[in-house]
Amino acid sequence: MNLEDDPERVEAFRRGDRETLGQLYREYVPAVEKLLRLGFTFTSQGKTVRFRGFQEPFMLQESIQEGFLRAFREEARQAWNPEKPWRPYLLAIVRNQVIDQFRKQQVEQRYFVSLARIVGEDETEQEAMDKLIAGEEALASPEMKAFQSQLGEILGAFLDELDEGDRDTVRLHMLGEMTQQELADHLGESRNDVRKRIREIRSSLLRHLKREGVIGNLDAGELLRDLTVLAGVLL
Amino acid sequence: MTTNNKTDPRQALEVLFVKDHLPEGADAYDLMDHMREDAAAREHFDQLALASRELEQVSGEGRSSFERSFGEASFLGALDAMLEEEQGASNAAPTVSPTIAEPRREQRAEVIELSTWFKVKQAAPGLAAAAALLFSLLAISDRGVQPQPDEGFQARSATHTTRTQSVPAAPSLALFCVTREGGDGVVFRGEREFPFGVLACSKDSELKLAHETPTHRFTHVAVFGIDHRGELKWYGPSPASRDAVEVSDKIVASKLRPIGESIRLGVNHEPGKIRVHALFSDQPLDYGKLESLLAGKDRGQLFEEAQLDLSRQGVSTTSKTFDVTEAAR
Repeated sequence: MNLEDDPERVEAFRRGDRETLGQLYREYVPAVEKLLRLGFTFTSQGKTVRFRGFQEPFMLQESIQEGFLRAFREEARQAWNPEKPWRPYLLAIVRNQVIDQFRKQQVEQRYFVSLARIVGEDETEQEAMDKLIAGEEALASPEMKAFQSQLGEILGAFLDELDEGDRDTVRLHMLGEMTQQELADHLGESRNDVRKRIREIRSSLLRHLKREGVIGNLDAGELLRDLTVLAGVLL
Repeated sequence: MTTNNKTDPRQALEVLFVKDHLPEGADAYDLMDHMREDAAAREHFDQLALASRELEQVSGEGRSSFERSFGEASFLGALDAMLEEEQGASNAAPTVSPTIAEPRREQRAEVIELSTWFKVKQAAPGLAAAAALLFSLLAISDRGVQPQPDEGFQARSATHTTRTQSVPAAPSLALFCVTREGGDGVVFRGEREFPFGVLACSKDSELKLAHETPTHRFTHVAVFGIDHRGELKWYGPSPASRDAVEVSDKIVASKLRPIGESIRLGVNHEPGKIRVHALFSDQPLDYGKLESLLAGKDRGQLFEEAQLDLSRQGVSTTSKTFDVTEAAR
């Protein structure tokens, strides 16, 4: 049920009830995420600008959080008219947050494209826009794209090296729909064994990614090498 | 529940990646805050998140479960802070007290623990605590053992205890492998020298135990280990030396207090993981008392659980794990 359809929830929302706000976050975060990830178009000082969306996980995470916090502030809660749907209100706040960041140059300008700059000869703004959106996967930084490509290959190799049981665990449970218990029955193991198997796979994966250099290593070399200074005291 | 007040952010994220929850003492909101200032931690987050997207085949289609669960927990922390600020500003209601704020922090942790990372429906009991200990760190430099303020982020709950705890928090344990390398050379190696911070000592080495200086004036400590087979190792007191062990007055490397003698692992340890429990009390904990405290405890539980619930007996506990490996020579 939408927020505006439930007077009790509306009242709880307006007084800042923590549980209600938490529920709203869960209900609406997919829409906010989509907006911030896929981007949108807006007008600034008479110019059409395309926000290309955040692909880097941390940027996306931070922007989602900030958007919801803006929408949940006392003044925003009180300013909302419950006779109108809340979802567009929320998304407008999130959009405005990004536009503010653009105007104040708080976000790198590579996330924004001024349409006037990319419209070619014999091309309308709309055509240029369509082309831009169609090729929007290019918005990720080259480093990120290279990382993802490398990651795909390394993960493929990791999965190939798993034994049959582990491969089934990944295929049927992690990527599939099988529950732990169903997988345990399938493998003829206890559920506890399956849990251990999953932890081991995750742990092996992390080690594998580090070995391959795609996930930063903790610099063990910087850490303790020799505690002989303690020898005389501790022993 | 005792928490460590310094947690390496990158390791905390790795625990989340592997175990679907953050380690004890780590809070998603604090971690998010820390990452804003720490480019390396941000990059680590991005890498783990992209790996999760790739593995979950959500690449190009949205966030991975790693990001979603972390995001919600972090958001709830930020929401709490905002609401507390509003309440304080308006004076319409009393500011949220620590006793209320702390359960909320626990709820945020539950968001991660109960999330369906790889569709894991339920976290194994004690796993959270076990993982926390696995990754909990002592700040150790090559000049000794010192706090390293730049390495960790400050968890706000660091000095808090859980609602159910009625005894002061136990200090953190520190474990070291001791090897003797010809002549009089003695080498100590701490947890951070090992991958994932898990100490691994070969059977022909020794284990040295220490604990951080407690904030409470505990007078006695008792330490024992338990392996995955449920076999107990009495480090002190023991059947052979039944007297209670006093907390040492000696302080080494600024903050550590040694516990008893070093333990030769060749004597009764087999390769595999050992959990070391340390019990702290204001009363003597001799071998008889230690036995009675552990009577009726399930051995599997003793191995799995990072903390023992002995608060009614006035005993505060903590633990750490280490691995025994085959003899190097």
